[in-house]
Amino acid sequence: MAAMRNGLGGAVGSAPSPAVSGSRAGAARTARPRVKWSLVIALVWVGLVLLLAIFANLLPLADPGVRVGAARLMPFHGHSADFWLGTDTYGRSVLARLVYGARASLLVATVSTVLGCVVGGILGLVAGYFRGPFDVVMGFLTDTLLAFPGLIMLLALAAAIGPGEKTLIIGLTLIAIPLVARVSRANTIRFASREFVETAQVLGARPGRVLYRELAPNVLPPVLGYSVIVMATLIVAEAALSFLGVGIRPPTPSWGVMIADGQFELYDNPQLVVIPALVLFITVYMLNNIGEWIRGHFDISESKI
Amino acid sequence: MTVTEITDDQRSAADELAVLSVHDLDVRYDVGRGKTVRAVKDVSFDLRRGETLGVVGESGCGKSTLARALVRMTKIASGSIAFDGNDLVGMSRRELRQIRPRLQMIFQDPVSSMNPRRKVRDIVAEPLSIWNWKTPEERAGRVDELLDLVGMPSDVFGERRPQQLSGGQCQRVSIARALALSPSVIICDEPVSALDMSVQAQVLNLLEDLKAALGLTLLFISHDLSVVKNISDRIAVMYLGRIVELTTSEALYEAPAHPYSQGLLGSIPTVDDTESPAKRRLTGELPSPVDPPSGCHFRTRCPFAQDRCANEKPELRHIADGHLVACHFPQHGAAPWRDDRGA
Repeated sequence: MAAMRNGLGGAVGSAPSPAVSGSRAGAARTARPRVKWSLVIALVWVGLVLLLAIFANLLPLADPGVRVGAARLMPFHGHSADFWLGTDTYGRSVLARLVYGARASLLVATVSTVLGCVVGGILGLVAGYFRGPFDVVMGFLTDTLLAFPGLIMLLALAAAIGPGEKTLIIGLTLIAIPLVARVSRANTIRFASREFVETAQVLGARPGRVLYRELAPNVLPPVLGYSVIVMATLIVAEAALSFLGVGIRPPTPSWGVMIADGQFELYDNPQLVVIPALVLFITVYMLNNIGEWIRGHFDISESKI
Repeated sequence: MTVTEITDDQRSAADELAVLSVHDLDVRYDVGRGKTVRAVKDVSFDLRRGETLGVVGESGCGKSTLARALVRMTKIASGSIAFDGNDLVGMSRRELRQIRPRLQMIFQDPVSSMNPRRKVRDIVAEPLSIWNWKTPEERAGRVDELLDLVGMPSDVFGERRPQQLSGGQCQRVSIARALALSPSVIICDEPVSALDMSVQAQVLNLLEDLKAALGLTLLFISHDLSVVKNISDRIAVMYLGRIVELTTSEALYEAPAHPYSQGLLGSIPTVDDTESPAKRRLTGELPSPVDPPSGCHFRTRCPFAQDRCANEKPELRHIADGHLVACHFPQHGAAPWRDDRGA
């Protein structure tokens, strides 16, 4: 090999100093534009909500199910943190319910998103890579699920196996799977025709390896970005179901349950509805923001073109 | 002139030399509404051990399809591809996989042929890792060797990702990857078409050096005759899916016999263009491959076409030793533009 290398000295030496051009290209890529404040705010908000939800019982908060003061108190009428956002019709701390509600809402949405992402992502990869009859069946099933009104499906599911968190997770996962599978499949098809995938096949890589080593790393970023957006959708869906009384059951607090509880007081005490709705809205908006950013940022091929 | 049909004796003699022997290869694409395109039709040739066979033709003549068919990356309608005595066409997935290391391919788009998420080192190590070649340490050593071989020292480029490399550098990495499993044949599908002229020359030199050093056999596809000319021992000219002329590089340049080859050669731009008014250039448009002309496909653009060309398909036949032409009225003598230049 050494002799061969010497023999090729001419060809090798004739290359223009590649290090220079390479590092220049590298520098251009690493130079990022200014800090994206909308993203920072979104990350801080979502991070904060997540932390509060996870560590809710470590915080000096009242039990969300227990009366702490006079009913229907406006915000800032009490002396402890429990009264910062006032109390609801039963005299329970709105702040405590908001934090514990985040836990229920986010737990259901996160579990469903992760399940939907894994199942939908893999189904999309396999369908997009192998095509053929599996893809046709998959396409039919996803189209059917997507065409079916989600809320009606969830209501039917709740009627069939009874409302509760488990039902919610099953239903929301069923909504997430076709959404993620579509994005996963589309991106798989996009990359499957790339020459590096064909090269792997010519090299003798088995389908599993091509999927895992070549396609999955490229399909993952858009799928992750999209699944954050799906999660935002699922949070809203959870709230809608809980509002209708077929999701999370009171007295367990969730944002949807809080809005439902407050609806009869809309004229006298609008804050009971407005506060959880606003938190819900901001969280969903911020998640959308993050999802869009992930999609754009990690898409190397797109930024290249 | 003596026109000889290929005898069985000649064919078997050629087979002994041939590492890749293609017979009557047919590739069809479904283009919808019940129509099919025969992208490659009745293509037969031998790729001899140690040679570089160039394949030229206009875009859409089926040369890339041919390349993909040879590595079984596209469905083959009929015909046979004998590689080291085994027919690739009839092979099962598993048998085919066992052949793969010995038959490699380099693709046209240097950037797209590399996974944007992986480092150069891992890209070159991938074939070794697919085949579980020795230990990871020995693989790393082999990768260093390969990268040195193509002039991309691993300590400089090993940790880079494809988008941090230029087109020429990417193509060098592609070559290193194709060499990793020590193949006997490499199919090069327009490996330099996406590169600048100066970089083209470097990559071509590299390929030639590697071919000499490693005893490779190359099938080199290009639409650019000037690229193929220098690297090829023999050249096959393709037109609408058929091989119309197959001969040595010198013979094709000195005495192209097919009117299409003459036209292709006449289309190479030269500096003193005005001095050869009679230089034969290609005129007209490439007919639709969905509905190609009857008989000889080239007859619609051919200055020598006669009734016979519309009715009868010209077979590929010997007009001289090792010079195959598919034309009813093959042209002889020196290249027409060279005559003009003297006048």
